[in-house]
Amino acid sequence: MSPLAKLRGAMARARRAMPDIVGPVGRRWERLSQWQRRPFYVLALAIAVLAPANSVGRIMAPASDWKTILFNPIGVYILLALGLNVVVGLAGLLDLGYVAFFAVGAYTMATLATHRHWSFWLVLPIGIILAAFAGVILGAPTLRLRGDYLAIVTLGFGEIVRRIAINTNSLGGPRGISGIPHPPSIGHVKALTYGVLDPKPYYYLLLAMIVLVIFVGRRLERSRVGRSWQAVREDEDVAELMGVPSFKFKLWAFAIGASIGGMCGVIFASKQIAITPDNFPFLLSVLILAAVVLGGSGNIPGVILGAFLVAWLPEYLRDASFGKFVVRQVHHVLPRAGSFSDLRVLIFGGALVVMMIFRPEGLLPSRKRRAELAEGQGGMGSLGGTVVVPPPEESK
Amino acid sequence: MSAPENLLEIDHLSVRFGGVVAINDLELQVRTGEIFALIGPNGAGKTTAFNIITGVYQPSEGAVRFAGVSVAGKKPHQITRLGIARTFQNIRLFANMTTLENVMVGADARHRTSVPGAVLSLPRHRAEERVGEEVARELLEFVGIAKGADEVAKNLAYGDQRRLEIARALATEPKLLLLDEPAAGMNPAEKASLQTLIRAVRDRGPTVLLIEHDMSLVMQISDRIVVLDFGRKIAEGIPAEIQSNPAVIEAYLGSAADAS
Ligand SMILES: Nc1ncnc2c1ncn2[C@@H]1O[C@H](COP(=O)(O)OP(=O)(O)OP(=O)(O)O)[C@@H](O)[C@H]1O
Ligand SMILES: [Mg+2]
Repeated sequence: MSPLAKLRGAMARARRAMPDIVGPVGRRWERLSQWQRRPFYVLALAIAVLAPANSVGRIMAPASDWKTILFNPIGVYILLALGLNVVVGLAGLLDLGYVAFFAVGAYTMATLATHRHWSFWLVLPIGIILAAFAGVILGAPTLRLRGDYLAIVTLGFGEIVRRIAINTNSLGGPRGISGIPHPPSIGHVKALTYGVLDPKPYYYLLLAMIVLVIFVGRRLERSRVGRSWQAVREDEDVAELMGVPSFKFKLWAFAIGASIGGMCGVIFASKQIAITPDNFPFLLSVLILAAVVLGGSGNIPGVILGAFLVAWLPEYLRDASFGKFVVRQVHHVLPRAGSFSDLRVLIFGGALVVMMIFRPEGLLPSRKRRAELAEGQGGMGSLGGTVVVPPPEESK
Repeated sequence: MSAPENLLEIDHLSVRFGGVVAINDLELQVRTGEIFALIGPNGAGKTTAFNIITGVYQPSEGAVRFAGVSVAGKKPHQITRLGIARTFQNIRLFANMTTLENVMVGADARHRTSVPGAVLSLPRHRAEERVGEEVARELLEFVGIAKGADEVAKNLAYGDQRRLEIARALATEPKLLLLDEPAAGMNPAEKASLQTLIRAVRDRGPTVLLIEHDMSLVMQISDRIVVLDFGRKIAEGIPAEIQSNPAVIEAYLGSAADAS
């Protein structure tokens, strides 16, 4: 038996030894009717609304400003991950340059609001439309490519958009754009007064968009569009032969994903005062993709959980004693390794590898994803690769 | 307006894959309302003919016309909308979707809801969802697998998977249904009920073009038969003529091991 086969066998055994808590809960959840689920949605929304409370902050982020990180990275990552989930999770297309659409939205806000003094509420739909347009421009020539090839092209696109920002004077070049105005406040409600100091109103703005995106996503999933996406994911050739215009629906997925990224970018820029090309690194595309896959590609609660963990854990661990411990240990070996935020990519990489061994379908996978994974299509399979899940006999 | 006599016309069709001539100057007409069988030894080019008709491949030479319209250059999903549907020699269901969902994907071929309709839940979207599900359930009833509607397709018994492929194809409302070896792997009892099903399909409306290796099934069910060998048409006629045709017997004896 080759070492690789042995390793696979050991992996399969380890995986089976892990207690499966999520599976039974998920199955029970799937049996609930629309009406029976409603209280859970209300509960989740209530938690989200009450999240910025100081008492929550003392537990979740004892050493940093909880409300700030609740907006960015937590809220921003969740919205971005929900957008990327349409592309990766629903349509099964691997996009490694998703940050480009976030940048398009942010720069739309920065230019139109700063130079032309347009209101945030006017720029928001424009940013969404421009980002969707960018998605179509990227998708139209490239969506005929499959798997790895598409991934490479999208990767290039993310970098092209950043380079354009760096090299265009009217976009501020490498120094970016500053003096971006905040959204005009609505009435005299505190939660809708967008100022410099209080991140809470921006968080609520993001939350409203997240709820909207979830609503739209669910409707799409349960329609001809969602069925077409799944059919294409399972067997594109057969889907075409059964009358699915696969190119059209893949392009729609790109446009929808892009518009959500753009929406997030507009909101991000409106709080930020200044943006630079450095706000849109390739790493952000990777982190959002990691969030989608880690949480359970294609399943909205899973994606939200994944994005939350990817955003919150590094912030939490940076100051927590565990984080300090890790940094000390690494500094023994690599004295110049830097702070925790420098190390987080390394730790993420490690965590992802461990996840893919023990739970390749993600933390909260959908039933269908799980089944697809067993055939080497889901999970990391949605990253263009084939997942080898050894059959039970092999480990004997 | 009367339906054209010939629903499908294949004209001087040749298909080459590199050096392999899969179809060689094929002439063939399928008439509206008949059950037409395409038979021949393994590798004769039967599945390739289906792939050309449904737009998977483009012909090297020749033309395919469906109801008077050339299918050249059309995408598979456009050809499906013209009214051609098919099943596959090796079952190719959407394995992780339920039985019902598989058929609803077929029914969607006749629907027009896109993203705006679904997001805004427009009346047309709701009507199409309702009708799509009704059509799908009726078809599952028709092919005899209604009780497995909510099963995941890959968990169905083998014979039921073949029936599901037929239901999914019928959901696209074809005028011409292509069946690629529907009886493969079935036991005699299943074959007998499949034969009844194929007749019932034809009586519902679609013309049937059938590839099948089971000779007794073919001879009992077909109105007309064309025999291919090495991509060439070697015989054409009613079952009785084919059975006694020396060239056909020769072709099948020459590859007796395959004639399973
Ligand atoms: N995509 C392809 N590329 C290369 N050669 C092909 C391709 N498809 C079919 N062929 C070749 O064309 C010939 C006809 O194949 P085809 O599948 O049409 O036969 P068939 O009559 O359906 O046989 P069977 O009864 O075994 O299904 C074979 O020699 C096959 O190898
Ligand atoms: Mg064949």
